[in-house]
Amino acid sequence: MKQLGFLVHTEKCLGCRSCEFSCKNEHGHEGSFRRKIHSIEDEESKKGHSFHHFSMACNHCENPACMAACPEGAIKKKPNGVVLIDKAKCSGCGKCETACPFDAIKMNPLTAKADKCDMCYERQLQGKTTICVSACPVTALEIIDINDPKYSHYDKAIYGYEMKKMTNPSIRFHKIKVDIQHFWCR
Amino acid sequence: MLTLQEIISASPFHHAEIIGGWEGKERHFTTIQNNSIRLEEPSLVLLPKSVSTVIQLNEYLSVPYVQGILIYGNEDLFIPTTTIDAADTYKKPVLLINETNPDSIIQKFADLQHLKTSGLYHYVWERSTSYWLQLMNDRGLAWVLHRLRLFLGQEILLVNKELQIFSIDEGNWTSVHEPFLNSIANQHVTNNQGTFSLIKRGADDYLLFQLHSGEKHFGYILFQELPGMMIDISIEQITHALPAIVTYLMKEEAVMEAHRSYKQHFLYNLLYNNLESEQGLISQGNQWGWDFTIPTQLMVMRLNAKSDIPKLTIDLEAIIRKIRSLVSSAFLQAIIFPIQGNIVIIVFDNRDNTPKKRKEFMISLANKIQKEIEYAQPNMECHIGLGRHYPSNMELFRSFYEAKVALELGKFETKKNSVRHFEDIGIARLLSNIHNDLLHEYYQETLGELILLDETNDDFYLETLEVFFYNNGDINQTAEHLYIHPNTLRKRLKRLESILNIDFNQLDDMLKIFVAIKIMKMLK
Repeated sequence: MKQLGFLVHTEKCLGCRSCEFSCKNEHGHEGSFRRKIHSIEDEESKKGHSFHHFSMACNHCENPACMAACPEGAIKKKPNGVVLIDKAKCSGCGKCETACPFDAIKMNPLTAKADKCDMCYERQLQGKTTICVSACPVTALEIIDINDPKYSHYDKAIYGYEMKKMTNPSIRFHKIKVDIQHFWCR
Repeated sequence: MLTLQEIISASPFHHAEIIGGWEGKERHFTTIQNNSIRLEEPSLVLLPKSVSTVIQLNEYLSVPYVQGILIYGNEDLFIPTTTIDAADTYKKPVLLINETNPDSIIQKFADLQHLKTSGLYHYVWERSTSYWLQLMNDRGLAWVLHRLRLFLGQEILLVNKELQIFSIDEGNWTSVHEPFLNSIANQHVTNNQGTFSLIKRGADDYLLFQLHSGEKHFGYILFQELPGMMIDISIEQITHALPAIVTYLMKEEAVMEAHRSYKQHFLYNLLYNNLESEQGLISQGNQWGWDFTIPTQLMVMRLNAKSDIPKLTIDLEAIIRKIRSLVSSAFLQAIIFPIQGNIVIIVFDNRDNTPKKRKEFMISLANKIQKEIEYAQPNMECHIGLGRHYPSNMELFRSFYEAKVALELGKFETKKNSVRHFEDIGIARLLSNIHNDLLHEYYQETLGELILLDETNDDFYLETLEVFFYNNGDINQTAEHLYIHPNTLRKRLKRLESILNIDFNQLDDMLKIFVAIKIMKMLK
């Protein structure tokens, strides 16, 4: 079975928040973001001079804790691995919000129902990629099938961010270790 | 000169019904005579379908030059068993054919003889492939094998790659691991070039025909070469029937694959809450004979290779078969399938049990499965997680999640159990929902000083604490476990109380440390 997930190229990510705002524009919710940029101090220099950034939303976990927590059975996982909230069934109790270990679910103040990244399900049905991926100016975000063996070498965790492994989040990180090329050096 | 075995492979004779005397299929004849008993050379006699023919049949069979009899016509004809026995005794084939015009049969025979004398008989063999394909399309594999056996006049075996024999009665592959088949397969590995290979086993010779299409290999047709048989004709007959058999197997595999993928899709939807209604669940389940009106219990099994085993291949099918037989022995039905590296077992529990009894029964069943699997697979560690029972099968997705949580969090339990129920994993259930940052903060606050002290002084206070909890606070057992004197342990515990600022006689303090140790294990 397929399991779609995000691949984040941490060395490319500038922390520009294009993904955050494009997502907000696409899904149009006042005051809440489905996607968030995290800035973490680098492993090598812990003095606060160097950071790495990565973008994270719902990780469409293999074992979604939110799905089991929902008393209405409003959360489902599609055969491509995308976790969706059925807005018609959601009662807005907020249990999923507390169950999610990644704070990916927020209560939408306008609808009083749970809201999270749906991996632009409607756009994907039209054959388009997610808005965050298309908006990233440095192609730091990608959608991959994490069950595909060709992506198995990517990291499941990132330095400085505690990942809850219980739910098996469908996110992978790619940190390219390239030496900085100084233009004045030969 | 033609033989009856040759002409039966040609149109329109391949539709002929063999009445008897087929042991004489290798009899040669040079001419075909219509309704004549005065023969001067070996002949095939053509007779119309009529009662007088049946009466005369014995007389014809006794004539030395009669090599076989071909009865033509559309009418129904009853041939008594005495006549069939006579044909078998004389070893002269008697065939029935639905053609009405004897002249066209004679003309066809003349054409075949001409092709044979010109050395062009291979065109007839090539045309026979379309007959087998047509037959496969109309009547299926069982009939093709039956007809081929009839033409060859002996048994042939259709064997798949796993040396399972195709059973006509069941229409399925039957597991027969005969030493004979194994020895043949071992020999075949060494010389598997070409369409068929000759295999010797004692005094007997066997021909093994490969069933393959391009790179895809489906199995073999096994055929014994009997003394005195016209092996070249038999080879031609089998070789030209092979494409029909391969086509059937390819089609079957494609159907099986579609079925498997549809089934897998349904089970995925069931475990991930993708089904719209209970009615849909029940009707879809019925397609595979699963009655989802019966309450179910879900288990998730994980198999890990023991740490000292570097690489291990698992026969998943054998394990599933084993689990199925264990569940059946408890008079229950189950759906067993692999998903995400685990094996999911959905047991249909039709007993009218109380929740407590159901849980106890399922744990005992899981324990039995776990023990049997570990016994059958000595290089594997088997762990089973059980989810809670829900009144509706639509909520199996919750049970699935819980079983996986039980499996995952059971690793951090003080006492190691291979079978864990979600209800029994205790405080770890709550901890699994708290963000890692908060958990990290809690255990650092509680045990941070102790960890630092151990690292600085190369001591083992943390281990002392862990073992103390593992032994339920029993001083003697803990001391024995750590290879120290109980009084030394008492002294160390006093020191621990002062470092951690706790009192081991207070339950609150004990719980605080217990939770911190559990979190530490979980985060590591």
